[in-house]
Amino acid sequence: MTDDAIYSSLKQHEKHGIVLQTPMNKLNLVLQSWSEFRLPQYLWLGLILNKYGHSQGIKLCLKLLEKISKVTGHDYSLPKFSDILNLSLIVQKKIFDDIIKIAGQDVLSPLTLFYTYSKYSCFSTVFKTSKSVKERKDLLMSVIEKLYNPQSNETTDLKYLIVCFSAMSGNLCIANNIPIPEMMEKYQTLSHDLEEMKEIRPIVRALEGGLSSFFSEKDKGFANDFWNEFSKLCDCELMVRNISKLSHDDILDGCKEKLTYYYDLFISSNPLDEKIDTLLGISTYSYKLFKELIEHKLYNTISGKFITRTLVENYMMSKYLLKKESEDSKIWNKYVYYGIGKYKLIYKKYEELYPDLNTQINVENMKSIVNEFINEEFIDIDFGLFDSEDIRKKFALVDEKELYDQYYDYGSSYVHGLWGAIRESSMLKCVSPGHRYHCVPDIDDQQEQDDVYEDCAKIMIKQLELLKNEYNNE
Amino acid sequence: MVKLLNMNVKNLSDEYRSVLEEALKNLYKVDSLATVDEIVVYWARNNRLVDCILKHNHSWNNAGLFTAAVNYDVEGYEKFPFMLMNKVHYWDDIIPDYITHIECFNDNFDKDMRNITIGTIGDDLKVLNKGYGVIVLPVRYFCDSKEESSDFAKDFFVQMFPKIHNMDEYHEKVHSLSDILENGSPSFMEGIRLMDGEEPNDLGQKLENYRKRYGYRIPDCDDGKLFYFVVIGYLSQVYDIMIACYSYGLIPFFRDLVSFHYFFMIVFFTTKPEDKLDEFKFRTIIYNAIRTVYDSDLISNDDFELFVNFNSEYDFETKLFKELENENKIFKEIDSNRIRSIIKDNLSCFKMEFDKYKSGIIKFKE
Repeated sequence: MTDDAIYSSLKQHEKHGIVLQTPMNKLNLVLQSWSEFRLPQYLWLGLILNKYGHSQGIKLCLKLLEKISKVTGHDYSLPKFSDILNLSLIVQKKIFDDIIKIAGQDVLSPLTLFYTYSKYSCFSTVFKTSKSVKERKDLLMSVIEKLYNPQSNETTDLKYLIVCFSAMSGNLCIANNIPIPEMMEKYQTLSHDLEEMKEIRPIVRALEGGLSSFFSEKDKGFANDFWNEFSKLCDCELMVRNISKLSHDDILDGCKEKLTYYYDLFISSNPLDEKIDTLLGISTYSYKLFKELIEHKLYNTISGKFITRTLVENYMMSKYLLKKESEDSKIWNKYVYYGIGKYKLIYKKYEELYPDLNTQINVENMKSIVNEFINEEFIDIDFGLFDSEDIRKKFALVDEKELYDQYYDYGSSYVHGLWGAIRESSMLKCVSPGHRYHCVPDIDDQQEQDDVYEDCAKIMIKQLELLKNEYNNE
Repeated sequence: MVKLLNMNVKNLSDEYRSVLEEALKNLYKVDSLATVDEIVVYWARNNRLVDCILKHNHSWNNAGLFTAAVNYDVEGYEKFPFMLMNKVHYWDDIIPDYITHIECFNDNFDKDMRNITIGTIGDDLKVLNKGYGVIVLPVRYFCDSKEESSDFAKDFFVQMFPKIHNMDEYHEKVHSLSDILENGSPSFMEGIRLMDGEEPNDLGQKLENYRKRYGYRIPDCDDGKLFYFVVIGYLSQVYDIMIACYSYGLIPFFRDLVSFHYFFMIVFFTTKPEDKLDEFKFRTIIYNAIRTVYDSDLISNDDFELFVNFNSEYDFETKLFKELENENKIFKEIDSNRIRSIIKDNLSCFKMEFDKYKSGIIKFKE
């Protein structure tokens, strides 16, 4: 992937039921990865190219491929290593002798790490080496690193050889009235620095891509075996994203001061007011979360993401209740008993199904909360959404759709443990080509998260602004 | 996870068996490098799995490592005392080490090494085929602590010569037997051993005997150099074993008693008389004491499987350590004769109960 890659916009996606489909997926294309499936088959040529470079390497490889195509004839359309290893031992020996004559004995010796004696006696004997496992592995690693990118110059050279072999074996014919054969002819003589090559290289890659249809399931097995074995020889090289530490203006005291004002106001003037009680309750919940964030320095943690999401949801719900109260004067009470009903369900399950279980749930405490003001016999349990409106619509209704887009969905990925969040927070990138750049669990907790403080502070301020708008005399 | 680990241990053993069988077929051929290379590559590929097994397959200090041996002799009697202690058992396979060196030696030695390797592969296959739970892993090969152990060995070696301050000085000053005796500490020199089965002769005789048997390995060297070569070899090996065992919580079972002698020498000279031995050292000494006390005719080879099954219920180790509980005193007060006597008594009880079990008089729960 390159930084200037162009991806389709959301508008260019098409909605099918509950799925937004990409334009590319509409075409029903079958993905076949160069690095995963095809590269292991051509690595032997890659090693020769690596040793001799662009011009000399291509020249020697073409000489070699010509000899091989004479032996294999029309039957083999691609210079796949698995095909060579499946030839009779006599033919294999002849091909390997040609390789040694043209490119030297040491050039393919790193591959003895995979093609060992018990299964590949001819290859492992001809290319036997006194090089250590590490030396062989390191050389292969450096070559694979260059060839892993399907569009690198080195990969394009390799793809050029594949196309040439296909043409030599008579499996690829190009009409004379298009300039491709001429370009192909020139490829080996031109340096990659030349402007002209910018036009030729994509053609070479496209031609090779077309030939990939000659790959079968069996070839996938060969590639899988290669990667399985190579990956075991390599160590992970973990990459941790560097998160810069920010300094924070401490607004906690200011928040406390404001909340104290509303608290005093509530206690002194309207101690039984359901609305201010509920609104202050939600705001205090947000404040306590925000305080935990600061006091426990959770700015760069997964918990920080949870906190952000809850602050956003609390803010939206406060705004929603304020908006709805003009239509429904009982909305505050409804909100409270929607939540109490949910609590009732939880505690009843514990009481009836798991009476002896000792967990974080304090059943007696929950029961007393449920029955605090109304006997639970008069409290129904609502399994639906509060006020029958889904969360996204609620955000839209209070003109906070942007908050939903910017924070809520993202935070939900973290709260629900969706893979995007898991990958971002708990998996590390291994940059070893031998491991095909896989990801590994971050069990040593090396990866910090991007700082949530500024976002949380912004939302906390908004929450207090709501109270100010409602209760301050300007 | 245990299931997955067990499956991996089994697969590793099965695959290694195939690799060795193939190697054995082809090692007799002149061109054997490609064959032996497959073994090295096999272990290189399984490097991380071996590490994982050694970290998670046993509890700390509760696994035995049969080591300091060319082979694990399934027909010999040592497997009995080896299996009497610890819950998990490993054979410290040395084949990868051998074959790494095959190409490095001169023709004569290469032939020797090749023959030893062929013999060891054959023995390894016997363990893999009927090892009764012994896991074959090249533990020391993986620990790769040769450089570290060589440094420790040199430091210890220099300590044996109070008048010598470093290795260069040793090589400069010590050439003849009289140089060794003049510079060496008598307490070290009296008990020094150079090879298995030697009589308690004076050092000169020991050097002479060694030269007769293994002189071809280091031709044309004086007594000082020969002494260095032999002693440093043992010390390095023992430090190598200690590092591997400390790293993975293993208890070494020294097949070579000379190596155990050097282990004991290291413990003796590095422990203060008023200190208690740590768990590793104490268990190692007991483990190897069982091996020296154990009578090779105690139980017939044919009954080995029965012996293993019996011990899994009888639990010799727990019974023995219950009695030994108070014996790990401060170092100067440890009474080796008393320990040996406790082991002997426990072995007698074990034998009596085993015979009853064999004849069906006692049965354990199915």
